Amino acid sequence: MEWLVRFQQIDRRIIYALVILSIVVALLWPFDLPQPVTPEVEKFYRAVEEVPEDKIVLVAADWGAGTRGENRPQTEATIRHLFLRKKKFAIMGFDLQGPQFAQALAEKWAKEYGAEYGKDWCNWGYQPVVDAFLISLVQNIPKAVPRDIQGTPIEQIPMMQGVKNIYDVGLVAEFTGAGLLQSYLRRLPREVPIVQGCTAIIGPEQYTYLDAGQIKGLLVGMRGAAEYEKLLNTRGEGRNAMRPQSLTHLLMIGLILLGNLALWAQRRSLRRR
Amino acid sequence: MEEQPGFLQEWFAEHLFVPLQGWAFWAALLGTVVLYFGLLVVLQALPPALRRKLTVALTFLAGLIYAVEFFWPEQGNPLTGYITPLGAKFLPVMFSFTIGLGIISLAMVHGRNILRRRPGWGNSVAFFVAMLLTLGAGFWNLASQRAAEAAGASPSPLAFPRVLWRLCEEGLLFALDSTMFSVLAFFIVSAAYRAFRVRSVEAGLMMFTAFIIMLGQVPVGMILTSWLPSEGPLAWLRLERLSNWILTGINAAAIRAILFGAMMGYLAIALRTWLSLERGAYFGAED
Repeated sequence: MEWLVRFQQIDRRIIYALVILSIVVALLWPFDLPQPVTPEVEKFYRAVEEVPEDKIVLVAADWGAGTRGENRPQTEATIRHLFLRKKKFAIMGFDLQGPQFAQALAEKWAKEYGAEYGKDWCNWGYQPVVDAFLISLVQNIPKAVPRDIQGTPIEQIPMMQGVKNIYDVGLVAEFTGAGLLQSYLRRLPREVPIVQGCTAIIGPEQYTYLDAGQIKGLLVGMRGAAEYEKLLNTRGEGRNAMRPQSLTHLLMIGLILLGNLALWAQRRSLRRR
Repeated sequence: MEEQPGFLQEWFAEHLFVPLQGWAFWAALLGTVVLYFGLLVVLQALPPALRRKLTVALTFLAGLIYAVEFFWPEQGNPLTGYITPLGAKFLPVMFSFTIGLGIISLAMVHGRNILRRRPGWGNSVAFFVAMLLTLGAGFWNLASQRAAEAAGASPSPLAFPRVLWRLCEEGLLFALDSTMFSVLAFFIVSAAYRAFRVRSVEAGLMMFTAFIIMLGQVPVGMILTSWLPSEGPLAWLRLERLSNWILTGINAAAIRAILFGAMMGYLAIALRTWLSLERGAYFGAED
C-alpha cells in the first residue's frame, strides 16, 4: 500500500505533461462523440429563428483574445445561423478586440452565404461606455452610433434604413467572458429579447437569468457552441474542441480519484501502525 | 417611443457636441486646456475645507442626475434626453483622459524602477520597449493607411508598417492574452487534484456534485449514462439531465442568494460614496 500513498503528491509538472498529452492526443485522433443538446441551447436557437424579418439582430462581441477559445465558436455559429436564415445583423462590442474578431468571422462566412457588407451586416465597432451607450441605443441608434467602423454614416448603410431605436432590434445576442449581462438587463427594455453566449466559468451565474426568463437562451462555454453547431448540422471549432475537453475532464476526475485513493491508503496504514 | 428634448438639450446638441474643424478646433482645444489649468489653480488656492465641500457637492450633483433619471418614470422624464450626448459623446472623451493618466502612472512607476536599479528593473525596460514599439507601430500603420487612401490606392497588406502592426497585435498581444487564459487549464487540473480530498461529508458531497457537472459538460461523460432511456421515470438519472438540474435548480438558487447579498453591499457602498460618507474620501487626510 505504501506505493499508493505516493500518489498524494504527484509532481505538478507530471500533471501538466498529462494535460498536454490528453489535448494533443484528442486533437490528432479525430474520434467521434455523440452531442446531446441541452434546453438552454435549443431556446437560443429558437430565439434566433423567431427574429422578425423587419428587425435586425445585435451581435455584441464583448470578448477578446483571452476568452476566444470559448466565445469565438459561439459567435461564429450564431453568425452562420444569421447568414443562413438571411437575418440582418450589426456587430458591436464593449471589448476593444471583440468587434474586430467578429468582423473577421462575418467576412469569413459572408462569401459562402453570398452576404454583403452594408446590406446584410454592418459593424458599429467598439463602444467604450457600457450603461450610457445602452441608454443611447434605446433612444436613438443613429445618434448613439453616428458611423460604422469604415466611417460610413449609419443612415447611409442600406440595412440600417428604418432602424431608429432599440425597438427596431429583434434580438440582442451577447457573447462575453465578463459580467456585462446585468447592464443589458438593466438598460434595455423587456420587449427586446436577449440571448447570451458566455464562458464556462461565468456560466453558473447566468442560469439565474435564464430561469427568470430575462434571457431567452444560453450557450455556456465550448459545449454550448458544440450543441449549437449540432443544431445547425455543422461541425466547427466547438464540436472539435469537445474531444480534448472530454479527455481532460476524464483526466481531472481520474487524478482526483487517485489522490483520494492515496489518502485512504495513508489513513489505513496509519491505523495499522 | 418619441424622444423628449430636455431643457437646453437641443442647444447642447447643436453647439456643444459637434466636431470642429480648422481654427475652431485648435481654439476650442487651447481654450479647454487653459480653462482646465485655470480651474486647477483656483481649486489649489481654495482652503482645504472649502475644496472638500465643493468636491462633495459636485459628486452629489453628478450622482443625482443618474439616480433621478433612473427612478423618474420614463414618460416625460426631462433628464433622459441628456443621457445620449452624455453617454455617446462626453463620457468617451473622459475615458480617453484616463488612458493618458494610466500611461503617466505606469511610466512613473517603471521609470523609478529603472533609475533606482530596483530588483526586476529589466521587466520595466521591457515595458517601455513594448509600449513604445506598439504605439509607434500603431501610429505608423495608421499614417501609412491614410497616405495610401489620400493617394487613391488601397492600403497594401504587405506594407512594412502593416506587417509590423500585425506582428505587435496578432503575433504578440492576442497570442499572449490567449496564453494567459490557456495556462489556467493546467493550474485548474493541478489545483483540483490537490484540493478535492474527501476529509468530511461536505467535501464528499462537493466532489460528487463536481463529478456530475464535469461529466455532464462533455459528451464522453454523457456516454456513461447513454444506456438509460431518454424519456420516462429513469431519464432524470442521465448525467446531462442531472447536471442541468443542478445548474438550473440548486446552483441558480444559491447564486441568486449570493448576488442579492452582494448587491445590497454594493448599494450601501454606492450610497456612502455618493454622499461622501466614506472615511478619508476627498482630502480626508487633510482634515
